[in-house]
Amino acid sequence: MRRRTIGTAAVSAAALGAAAACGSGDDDSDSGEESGPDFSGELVIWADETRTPILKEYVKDFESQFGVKVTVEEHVETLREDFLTATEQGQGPDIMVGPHDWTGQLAGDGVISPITLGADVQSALNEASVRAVTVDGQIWGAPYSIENIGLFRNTDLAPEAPATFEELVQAGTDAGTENALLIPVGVDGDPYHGYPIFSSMGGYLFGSDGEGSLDPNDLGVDSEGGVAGFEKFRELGEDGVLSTSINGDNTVSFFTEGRAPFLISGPWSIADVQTAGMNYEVGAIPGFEGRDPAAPFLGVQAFFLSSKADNVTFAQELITNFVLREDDQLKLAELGDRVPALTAAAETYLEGNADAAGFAAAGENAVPMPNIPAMNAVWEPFGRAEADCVDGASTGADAAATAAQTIRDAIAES
Amino acid sequence: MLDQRSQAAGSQTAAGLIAKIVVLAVVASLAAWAALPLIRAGAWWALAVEAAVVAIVFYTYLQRRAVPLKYLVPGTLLLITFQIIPVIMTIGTSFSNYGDGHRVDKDQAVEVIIAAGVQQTPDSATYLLAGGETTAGELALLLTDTADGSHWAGTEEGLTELGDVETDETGRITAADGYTVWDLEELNERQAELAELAVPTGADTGIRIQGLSAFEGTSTREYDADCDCITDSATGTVWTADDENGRFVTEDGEEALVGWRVGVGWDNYARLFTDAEMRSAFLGVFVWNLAFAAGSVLFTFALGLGAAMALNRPGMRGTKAYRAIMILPYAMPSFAMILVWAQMFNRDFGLVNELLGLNVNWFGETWAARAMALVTNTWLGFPYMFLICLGALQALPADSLEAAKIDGATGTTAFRKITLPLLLVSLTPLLISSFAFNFNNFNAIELLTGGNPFRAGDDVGGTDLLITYAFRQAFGSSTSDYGFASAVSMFIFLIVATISAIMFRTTRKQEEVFA
Amino acid sequence: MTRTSGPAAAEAMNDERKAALARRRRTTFSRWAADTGWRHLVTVAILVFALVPIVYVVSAAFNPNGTLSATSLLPDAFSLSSFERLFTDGNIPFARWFANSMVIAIPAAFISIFVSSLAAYAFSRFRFTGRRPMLLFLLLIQMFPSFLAVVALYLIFGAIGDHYPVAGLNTKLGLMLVYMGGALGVSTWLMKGFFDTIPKELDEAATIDGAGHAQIFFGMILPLAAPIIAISGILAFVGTMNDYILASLFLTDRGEMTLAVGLRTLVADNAPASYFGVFAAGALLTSVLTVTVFLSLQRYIVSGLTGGAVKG
Repeated sequence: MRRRTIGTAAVSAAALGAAAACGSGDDDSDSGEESGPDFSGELVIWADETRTPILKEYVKDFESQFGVKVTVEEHVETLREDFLTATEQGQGPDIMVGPHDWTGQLAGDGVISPITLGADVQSALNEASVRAVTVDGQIWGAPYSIENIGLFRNTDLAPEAPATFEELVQAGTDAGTENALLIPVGVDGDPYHGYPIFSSMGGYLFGSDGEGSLDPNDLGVDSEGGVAGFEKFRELGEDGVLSTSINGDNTVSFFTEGRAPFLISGPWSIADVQTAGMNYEVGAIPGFEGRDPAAPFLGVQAFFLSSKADNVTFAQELITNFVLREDDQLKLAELGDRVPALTAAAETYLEGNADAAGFAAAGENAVPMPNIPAMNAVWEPFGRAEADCVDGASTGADAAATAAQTIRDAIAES
Repeated sequence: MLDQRSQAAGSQTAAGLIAKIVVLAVVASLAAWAALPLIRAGAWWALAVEAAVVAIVFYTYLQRRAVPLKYLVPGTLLLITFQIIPVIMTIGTSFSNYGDGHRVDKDQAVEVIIAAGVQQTPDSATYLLAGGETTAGELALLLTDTADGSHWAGTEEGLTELGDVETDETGRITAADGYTVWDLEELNERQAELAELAVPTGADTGIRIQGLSAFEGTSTREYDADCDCITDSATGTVWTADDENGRFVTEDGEEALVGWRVGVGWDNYARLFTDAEMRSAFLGVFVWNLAFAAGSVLFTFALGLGAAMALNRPGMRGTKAYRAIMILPYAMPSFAMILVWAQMFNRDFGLVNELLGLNVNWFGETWAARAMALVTNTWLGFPYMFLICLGALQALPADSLEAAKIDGATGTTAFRKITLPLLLVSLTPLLISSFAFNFNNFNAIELLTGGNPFRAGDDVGGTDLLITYAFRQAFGSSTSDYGFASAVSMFIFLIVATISAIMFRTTRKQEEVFA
Repeated sequence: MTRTSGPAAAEAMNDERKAALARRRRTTFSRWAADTGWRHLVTVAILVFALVPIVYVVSAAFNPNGTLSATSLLPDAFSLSSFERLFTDGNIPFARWFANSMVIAIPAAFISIFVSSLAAYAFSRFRFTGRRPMLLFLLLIQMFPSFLAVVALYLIFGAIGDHYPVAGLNTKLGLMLVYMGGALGVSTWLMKGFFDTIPKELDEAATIDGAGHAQIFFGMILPLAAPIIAISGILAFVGTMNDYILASLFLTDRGEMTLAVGLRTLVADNAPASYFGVFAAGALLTSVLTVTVFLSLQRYIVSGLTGGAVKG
């Protein structure tokens, strides 16, 4: 009993410090704000460094139509943490724009509010993108763009698009360059870029629970296909195709310097490759012969409504109506060089855009990156297992077993 | 007290008096300015704190007895606000379950869980929304059916079709007989009131608003304060509040999506000592951590002092340029320079292996990785030591150095017998604080090695510090756990503070430092 | 401070002249080597270590590709395009970042040094109950792992911002307040150490002359402590310039960012690899600012000040 008292006393001391500093800051989300003299009619959006400039340009239409000032604030690399911390304390923006794989965590933390999209709206969107923002049977964000990694090919070094991964390695070796293929691995492994290989060998992360959500108890890391995937990492490491000294910092520059004919990367590398002035093509990542197609992760960017939004009407209007219109999706796509989530807009966008079409082709089999919080437990152990296999420090079976054990422990603990 | 020398009023100069009056007047007007918003908002707690601070400031500078207070108050106020309050809050957090899934309070959790039960009725109408009031002052939704353009008013009684209305070009109602229609800004401000308004359209369906639209839908979830539970009428699920753990659970133990913050007493600390992995790893990590911190201090200090000694000679050619270049590593943004170092240590393409003709896997072998971490950290930290050594060298009493020279002490002897001991007198506290900083130097390890190398299945990397290891334990699982992380912070703080306090006490020159 | 900078400079010049004369008298190489030669050797050795990673940055800044190329220490091509982009790319308002950094870092450093010097004076010159525990506390509080400080700062400044929008999140003033609080501990200790070396006899003499404690502090101690104030000032300034964690919390508009936050956006995970060159160019120009501040304060860091004052 005594323990409890001390604990509570300490907590309330902290609360007191807060209360002393902020006075009546407790319930400012309700009545205080609405009639308060400081209403500025300003809609606030938080986004990361890549999305901010795009959004700044984009919101101008909304501003002029509704006469509301929209401020886009940039949070470099710490968007999620900043948003969580600020919002739980009643601060923060009205809207946050971020990737869909945060959905489960944000919803479970109570910092975003669900939105309702009519059946017609849902069916107009890319089916996977709607699934990506669905948690617990409810939609939590409005998807506006999708992205996935694909295969960059230096057409001077490798004129033909390979049909299988084996052909790819062969063509890469024949090119006589220092490396056959550039996939970021790094000393910590890189599950995001390694997933196509893993999935082509039959590996998966989480199975479905049968209701449209993922089941954290069905882990596929040490399934038969998963073990085969790690075994493949080891094999490719032995052959020198994969290496832990190749990482996110040097892949793109090595590719633009012509040190390998192939690069696996995403649309964010287009600018670099174009700047280098080389001849290239983007296409699908081929799977292994006789195996599954190589499925990359699908990333969906979405607008989320803060549960502490001050300007709910304008925020909801922007999220559930504005960004889902075809013209708006197209505009966002052109500003951001990503494929729109709205199918009609995507079709228009892909016409005459070879790079985007290449990525879209690569994304045909893409699976949405898991949006359940359990995914946070996967990255590190998976990456480490991948790096161990590539280094030859571990067999595929051992690495898969170890990683799966660590992930299961972490999920069970929470 | 030495300072009680009585000062005649005359000893205060006119300029000093004027300065004091001006400063206090500024404080008074700032206080008045600061009080206004607090009074307006009715923030009486904050006002009381503000009044207390102002009273302390005035008391301090108007009284004459406690002179040291006059010099300590400004720093103390800043220290309390920006360092002590965060520490107190961290301590508070360590006794709670604050973390993912338990970030908000209970009301907020209930609100989100219920909001997640809203479903749009299939194939029902959707509307453009305007808000307003009846002439009697009742809230009303003014709706335009998007399919057929018909106009409706929704009140607590239900929907009634409207006759004559004015609309804008999108079809949204801007004026209607018998209603005051709000403009957009008012609608936005009073959204919460409208959202509360239940406009029934059927047995359990109603009009729900969303942005500038509305649709017909049902809310299947309801909170009942009596049983402290949430019931979902569509699925029949009943979640009951578990106030011990801060979450809603069904009888089968299924948790609702959102939980809330509650105090958990000493649980987080208990976990610290019962966690088997943490216990087994502790000693190894601890020893390396000590070595890393001590090594960093030693190398940075040696290099910094060497540079400062070498350049502490008036009239030496090029001193200025040397000094300026010497602080360059300090002037470059450290997060980026750690990236550069990591590239330089790349096994296949890095400069270090290339220049030295080695093929060391710097990130893969424990001792190589540790050496790399120390080299990098030395590079990052030595200009700081250079600067404080330069400052401390200036403070050396010139007479003792000259006396040493006259006594015939040669360079190294003079350094060892006189310069170094004298320097250490003033620098010991800073060396200890540098030790403590490096003991917890999260960024240097996290950005450079991330704890690598790891052996398969190992939780502890070869270069892991307590802080990087513990925080991976706290955040690396599927949900981050601030409560546990705070307990870890407290624990690490106790270790560092104890070591530092012991070092401090056993320093030979302790008396002189405190003198 | 102006009151003593004259004599201080004169003293320094005097020293330099003496040293120059001395040099002329003993011209043999061995003497030079024993006296200053080793100094050059040590310095150059340390400088090589200091400069190797920086050469990478320089190379990237002048490389037209501008990537963090892992192999070439020296650029294979030369171009100023990275520097040009700093001033022409609308997405990289480098000049404004520069100005923001100055506006924040300089006043923050000044005020925090002033506040610390006050405290250091109290700790150095007065004896009062709780002095030793307070000194120790000041040292220990710095050791608290500040991981969750971000959470606290959101709470504190969110609350402040509710009532005083000028100093809330998203304001430079709020950020400055945090920086002022941050540098206190180390600066206070550093300055206290220096103040301790200023002989108490000086205070006593001044007291006999009828000076109050304020006059002693402002009129005598502060000017005598110029070297350590300069050093603490540089430390506080550089600390402020390099911080991006706090700054990125407060400044979320591209035009309002400080150099560290702005440059950080160029090497963020999603940033194009070619931005590294622009980043490198920016980092170099930033370091020019720091070095300039250092050089301009360097004249206060001249040997023999205290000794001179005591003698005089």
